[in-house]
Amino acid sequence: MIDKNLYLDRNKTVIFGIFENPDSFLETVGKVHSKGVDIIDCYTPFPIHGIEKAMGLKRSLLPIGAFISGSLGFIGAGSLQYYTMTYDWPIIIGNKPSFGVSFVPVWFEGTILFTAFGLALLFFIRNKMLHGKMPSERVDMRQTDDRMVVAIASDNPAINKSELTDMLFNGGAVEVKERTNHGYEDFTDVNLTRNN
Amino acid sequence: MSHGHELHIHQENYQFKGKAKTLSLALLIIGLAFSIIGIFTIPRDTHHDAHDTAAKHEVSNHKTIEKNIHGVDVAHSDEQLYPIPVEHAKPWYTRIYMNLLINGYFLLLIAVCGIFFFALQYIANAGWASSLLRIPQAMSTILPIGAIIVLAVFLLAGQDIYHWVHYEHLHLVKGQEGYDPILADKSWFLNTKLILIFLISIPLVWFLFGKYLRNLSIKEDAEGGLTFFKKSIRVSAAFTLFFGFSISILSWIVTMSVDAHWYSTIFSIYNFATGWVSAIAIITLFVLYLKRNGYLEIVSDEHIHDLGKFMFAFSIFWTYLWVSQFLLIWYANIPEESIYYYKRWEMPFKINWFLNLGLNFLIPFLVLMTRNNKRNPQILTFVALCILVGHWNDIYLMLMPGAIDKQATIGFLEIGMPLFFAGLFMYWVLTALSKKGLIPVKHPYIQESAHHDVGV
Repeated sequence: MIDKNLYLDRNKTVIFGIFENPDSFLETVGKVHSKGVDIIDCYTPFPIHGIEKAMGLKRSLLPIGAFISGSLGFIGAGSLQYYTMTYDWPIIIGNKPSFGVSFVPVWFEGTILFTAFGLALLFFIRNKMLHGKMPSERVDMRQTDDRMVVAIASDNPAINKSELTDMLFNGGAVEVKERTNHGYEDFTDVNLTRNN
Repeated sequence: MSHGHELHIHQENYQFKGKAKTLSLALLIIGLAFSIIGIFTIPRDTHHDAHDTAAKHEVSNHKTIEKNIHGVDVAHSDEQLYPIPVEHAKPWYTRIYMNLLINGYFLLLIAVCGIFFFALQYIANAGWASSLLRIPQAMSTILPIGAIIVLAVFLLAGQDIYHWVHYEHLHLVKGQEGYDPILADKSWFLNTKLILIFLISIPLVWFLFGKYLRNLSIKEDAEGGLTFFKKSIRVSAAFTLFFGFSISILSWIVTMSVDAHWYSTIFSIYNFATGWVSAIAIITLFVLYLKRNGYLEIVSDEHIHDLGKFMFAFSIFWTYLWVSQFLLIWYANIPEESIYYYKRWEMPFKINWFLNLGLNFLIPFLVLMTRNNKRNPQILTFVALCILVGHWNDIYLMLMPGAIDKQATIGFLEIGMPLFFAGLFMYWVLTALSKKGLIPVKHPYIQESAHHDVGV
């Protein structure tokens, strides 16, 4: 697996294919992936359906995280109620049992609260967006507007650079760049051209 | 990936034959046989004048209910606002009518929620379900059967089932013995004339809406173009507006008025949730059946996954409403309100009470939680059947305790009648499906539906 942290890796070359049409983008990404080429990431201004499958992403583990954090909330809320209202200092309110159906709303709320916060936290951790993290650089000024970018490692055992460049151009890329990183915000770009 | 490519959508013609036909006919026959056995095994009235005695003592201030759920003495409370009706025996045949009412009402709810399903796709401008729209459209054709059964039961056995109907016939005025201020207050709404108008007009309007929308969709198959689609959106919006109000009224008069002294403001949406989740379970079952038999080529796992999500989500929605209704009444513990749950916490309903939670909440919630289960046909079939049985049980629990109370048991009749109606439903809906093309080929969103993708 390629290290996704491509911006911080020194002297690593990455090929970017820049596209204007989402359909040809999706198709080309699928073709490149099916050749056995590892795709580092795709940057699109809007969600493209099916891109995860095309670039061979595995299923996200976020649902499991959601389940665990929800269970934690359920158990946490339940045990807090049990300890305070039933075990430590039983309080009878309105002749109701000190442990019973009246606890349901708190279980419900606790589960939802923990699921929501847990998911938000996991999302930030997974996307390396926690406080203090460096922001990603733009590859193309228009990648947040109307252009799609695919990032592919250039030293691929499955395909050589010129073949890959041709493949991207034939698939409808408007530009193909090779970037070598020297450090954060320190890189050199080379525009690649069609070979044949 | 097939993105950007237009698929050619083939029309498919479903043929109703083979196992499905055998199964539906077998269900019809077994259900009928069970029902007949059930009818003969209902214990007959022990004394001939059960009905007259009931009439006399209907509203005498007899202290049968002495303690509420938590054992608080309520019988000796001085603040009794209205006389508690005596638990008297209803004529033996009431149980037959009650079974007809439960199943007829269930059928009516499922059929109208079928209409609501495709109306919703139109007004939400949703494309994913357009390839399976013919299934809810076929479901909507059975609406008159449910409506006629409910109406017939009201006309034939209204006096035995609804105690306010019986009270209305007594023509009591203030000051007379047995005068019931609560029923008198409600009589502007709960009177036979108004109820009959509602019971006839509401299902009729629903049926006309459903028929009109279905015809538009079928005409679209032949002619194409956007006119039918645009018209469908406007008609669907009108239907939804009407549906929101009318299903509330229908749930009040058919189910809530069984306990006419009691009311709950969340009741109508709770009824809607029951019908809606059942309708989605049935759509899922039909989709799975048609897929297994090689139909619905463009319906993929993605659509089935979405139906599974719907089942999961609306089971939770139902539970949310159910708990909300129960919790407030349980917590406030006002005798007039908690009597509703008091009855349902006693045998013979206690089993149904827990079955309700198990089948309608725990099984759908725990089983459909993971993605793979939502895409597994066997598991989805199992959960859909659980939901259907569970919501039949839910309606049983809404109606039976208020109407015949301790005379209710689950016997041959209670098993046979739903089987009979399931067979009837299958036969009717599959026949309706076989008459028209199975895919709305010229629906403007049919390509979107064919390419539907829920992501990872």
